[in-house]
Amino acid sequence: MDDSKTIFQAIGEVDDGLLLDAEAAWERGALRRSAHWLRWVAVAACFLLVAAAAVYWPLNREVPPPVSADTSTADDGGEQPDSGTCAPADLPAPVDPVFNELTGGLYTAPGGIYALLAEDYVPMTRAEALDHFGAKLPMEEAAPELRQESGGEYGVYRSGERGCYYDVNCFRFSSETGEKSITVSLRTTLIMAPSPSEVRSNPETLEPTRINGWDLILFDLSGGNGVPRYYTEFFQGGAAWYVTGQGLTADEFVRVLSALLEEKTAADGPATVTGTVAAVDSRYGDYFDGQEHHYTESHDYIKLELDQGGGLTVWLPGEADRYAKGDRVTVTYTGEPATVGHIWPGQLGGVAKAGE
Amino acid sequence: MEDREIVALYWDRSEAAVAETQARYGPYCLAIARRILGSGEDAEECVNDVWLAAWNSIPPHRPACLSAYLGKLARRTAVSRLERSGAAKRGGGEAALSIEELSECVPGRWSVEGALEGQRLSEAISDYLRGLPDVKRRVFLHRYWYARPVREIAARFGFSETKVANMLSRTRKGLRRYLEQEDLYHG
Repeated sequence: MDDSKTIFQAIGEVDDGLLLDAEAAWERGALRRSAHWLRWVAVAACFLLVAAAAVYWPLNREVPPPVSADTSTADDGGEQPDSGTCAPADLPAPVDPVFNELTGGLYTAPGGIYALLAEDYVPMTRAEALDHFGAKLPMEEAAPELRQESGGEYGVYRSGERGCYYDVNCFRFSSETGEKSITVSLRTTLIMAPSPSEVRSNPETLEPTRINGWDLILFDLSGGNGVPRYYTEFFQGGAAWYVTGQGLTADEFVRVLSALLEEKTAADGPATVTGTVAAVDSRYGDYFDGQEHHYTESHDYIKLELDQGGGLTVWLPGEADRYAKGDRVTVTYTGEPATVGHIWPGQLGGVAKAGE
Repeated sequence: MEDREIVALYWDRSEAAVAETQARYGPYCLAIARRILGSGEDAEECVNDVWLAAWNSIPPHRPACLSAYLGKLARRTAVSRLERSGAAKRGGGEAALSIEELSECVPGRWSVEGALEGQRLSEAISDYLRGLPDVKRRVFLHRYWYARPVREIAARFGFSETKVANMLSRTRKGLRRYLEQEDLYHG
């Protein structure tokens, strides 16, 4: 027992980054399957797919197969299956999506760590969870190849004292082979907590893509393994949405977003919000990329608690020190927050202090 | 309040630092201590020790990640208290079970007297964990750092309990092989 206790104690002193990563995974509530496992599943699924197609395809020719926007086979009248793409029935693909590079790496934030008490957990069905967020996920229209993964667990943490204090839920869809997937995480609680894309080396260069009237910031998180991975965040219906697409083409990812985003019809006027400065940070800059800690150059921003609820981080390179905690401010910006709760310099109209 | 501001309060020797820390990390540290100690009362006393330890150690320390710093303090304090109380030997708590499971990691010719100094051993374990696939590493840490029950880990990540138990068993054996191969002991 003593020897194993020594190891138990030594485990307690492992690198901080490993702990942050583990805690972030706990918060997300889902671990990625290893590539090794996926390979075997993919191989097995491919065999099954081929066998199933050989047997059933002739019986199902009356079902219109999906149309690929990539291969421009509309003239085929839907006669040919397009198993390689997540093809929509009739959703137009926006022109020229811009994928921004997330140079700061994924940020596993200590701000996301808090106690979740098991006795406060309220399990839900998938439908109840979607109702909780007032969300719809019409994936069958946008990406018929993707199916909802079974075995998902849904619920929120709620207590009499704290109310509903944690409600992150992940809704995952994947293709039969597991090569393509979409993960939609929704939350209404603790939106002030740092988001995965908070740290960027150069937020001034972000470029939006217009989808359904929204100016979204899309990120390319593809690694060196050749599998495309795209990501974006946005607010909709009072919830923060975090959407990750893996193995999808850029167009497929954008089509999924088109299905998830309600059409915006409002004119493109600048938005104005008011709030109180909750924090001023003019030198923040360490993050963990899954391997090691990095220390970046200064990132000036202020964090606001908005009068309407929720929070907003406003990037103010070289100007954050003009503000102090408690200041009342009005922020004007165009488009959507660059990521959940972030206004980047390119979209900022101005920040006015009350009384100035 | 942001972590950086809380740390600044410690450096300013402002007692508000402790209040802010309690507000932000009280439940987190309490949960760690409770899982290791089992008893709620012991855990609360343990967490009070954590605030004192934080007050006494910041400065000179300026933790880059306050949550990890406090979490480690809480775990260290709880393990120390567990050892003093002999509860681990009596069994019953999740930590005691974790420790028992970890006997599989102890290299054959190892002894406490010959063991590496704690810091080097921790570095070796960190190196081993970095080389693991994400899933195995995270499951291992939730079991042996956070002392979470296998059932809870399985439910959280959508695995069966058997799968988690098997994954942990393989990781433990892998760690043992790693410690043996790297000759990280003075047998």
